[in-house]
Amino acid sequence: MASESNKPFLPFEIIINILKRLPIKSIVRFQCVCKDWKNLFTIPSFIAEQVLNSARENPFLLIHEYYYKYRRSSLRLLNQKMETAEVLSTHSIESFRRHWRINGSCNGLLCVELDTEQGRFPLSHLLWNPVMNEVREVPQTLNDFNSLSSVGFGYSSVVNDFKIVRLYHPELLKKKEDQGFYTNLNCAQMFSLSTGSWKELEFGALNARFTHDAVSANGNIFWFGWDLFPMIVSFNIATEVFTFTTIPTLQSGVDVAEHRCPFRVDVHGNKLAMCDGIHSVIRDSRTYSIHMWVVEEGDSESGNSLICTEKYKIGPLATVLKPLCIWRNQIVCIYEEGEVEGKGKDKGDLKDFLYLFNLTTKEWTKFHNFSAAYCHYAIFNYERSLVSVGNIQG
Amino acid sequence: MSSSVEAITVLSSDGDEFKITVSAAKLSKPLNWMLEDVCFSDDCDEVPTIEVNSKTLVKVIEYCEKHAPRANSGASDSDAEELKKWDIEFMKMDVKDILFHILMAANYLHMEGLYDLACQTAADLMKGMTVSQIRKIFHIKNDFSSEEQEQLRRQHPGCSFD
Repeated sequence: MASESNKPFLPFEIIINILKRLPIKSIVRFQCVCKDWKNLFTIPSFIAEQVLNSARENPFLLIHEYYYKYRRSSLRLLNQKMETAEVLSTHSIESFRRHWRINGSCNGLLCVELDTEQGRFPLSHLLWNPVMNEVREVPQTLNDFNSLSSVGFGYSSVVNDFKIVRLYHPELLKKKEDQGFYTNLNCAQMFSLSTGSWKELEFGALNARFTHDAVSANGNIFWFGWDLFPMIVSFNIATEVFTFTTIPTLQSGVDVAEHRCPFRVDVHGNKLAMCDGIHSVIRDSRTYSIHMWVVEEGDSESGNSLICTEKYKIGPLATVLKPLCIWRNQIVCIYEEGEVEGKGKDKGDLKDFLYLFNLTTKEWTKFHNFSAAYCHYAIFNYERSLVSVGNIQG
Repeated sequence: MSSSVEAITVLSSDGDEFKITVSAAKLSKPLNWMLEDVCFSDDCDEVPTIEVNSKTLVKVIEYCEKHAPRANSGASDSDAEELKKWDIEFMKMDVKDILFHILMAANYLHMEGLYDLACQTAADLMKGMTVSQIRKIFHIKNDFSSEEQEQLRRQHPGCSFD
């Protein structure tokens, strides 16, 4: 019939190109169309292209709010208009333990740390794809009761593997005292999703302190730390090698020792960037401003030098807005119990908002996003993906 | 030689003649090769055939002519914004009747911009469809056994085979 020949049968190659642009929920539904489609959705190259598309077209801000005391938590995705796009069910995580926090978010997978509850349980991790409702337990490491550590989580397309990297101090495994914000960490261990096991890594830092935040981008995991100078530690997920780069340029502007709040290490336009709120005293009056540095590869002969340049200074600000993360071209901030004097604002009111600073337009926008029912929060970049927490087939 | 002509004539698979300007034809790699290889001067009576039907070729040429000035010279942000709006209007078409043909043509003519646009349009149209609607459009038969369907339903409670 003429009408039949009018409808072309699309080659599978074209169908793939259409399907990778679908939202995850449609892809999950369309598994039922036929076996070819169901199999396609498990192929690594398709999953990888879908993630790229998802990150570009549908980036989310993931907000985890919790209140340990009342054992309440909420996990939400905010869209680009800062509306709640989805409330994620945390049931599959809370069936393991009520206390948990997110260490990192990468290609739709979350690395979750189950809380040690004052050392009663050993520290352990879960890998979780909340959209696909898949959870995988990461085996426990030896003797890691009550340890302070800094955990990074990332993916490398070179080896097609996700890795969790933990910087820790072996002595702290035994001590129970609180080490404060900063910890001297001199050992490292790594879990690989494809091998399903942990191993110890060569870690050259002898007496360095690190913030608790790590971030991953382009097949690397980055930490911010310092011994004599501030430094960036990068871990290449494919080669499993650490690189330590001191950034003396940062020191002149920032008195690290004065810092109580950790630096935020984040990714901005595929470059590593750091954000921090800085209090300074000028002629007896205290001011507060937010600074952002961008880290770039330097042109030095040694090859791997990093140059850290201050790209933005926002302020002085009337209220203390603490930078939480960099999201697209915006710095996401939250109000922190302020030390800027004489403003007398209603703190409870300010606390319920997220403040976004647009680096292009230099404008602030304020969104009512937090509920008074929670007192802690963590924020991550997130994209929905089909990535499975099962073993990755090479 | 090709540099002396501003428009070329091509035949559709239905045998109809179409004119396309040289700058618009350059959006397609195969057409560009043709421009270099084939003699388009007046004394050459060979008219190349493009394996795309007339109805589709009209649309493809319309797209090329609209996008050619921007592709050749670069454009301001406001032009890009205007072009985006034009693309959305241009893509308001029936999936089966014409969109799939456009997809095939854009793929065959190596036109990246049109191909991406058509893929995204198809995805946007498909995302709200039921599984049976999808099967109908793509001529796909349900090849799951009833046991396999049952298993999929258990894994993903939201799944429906209809």
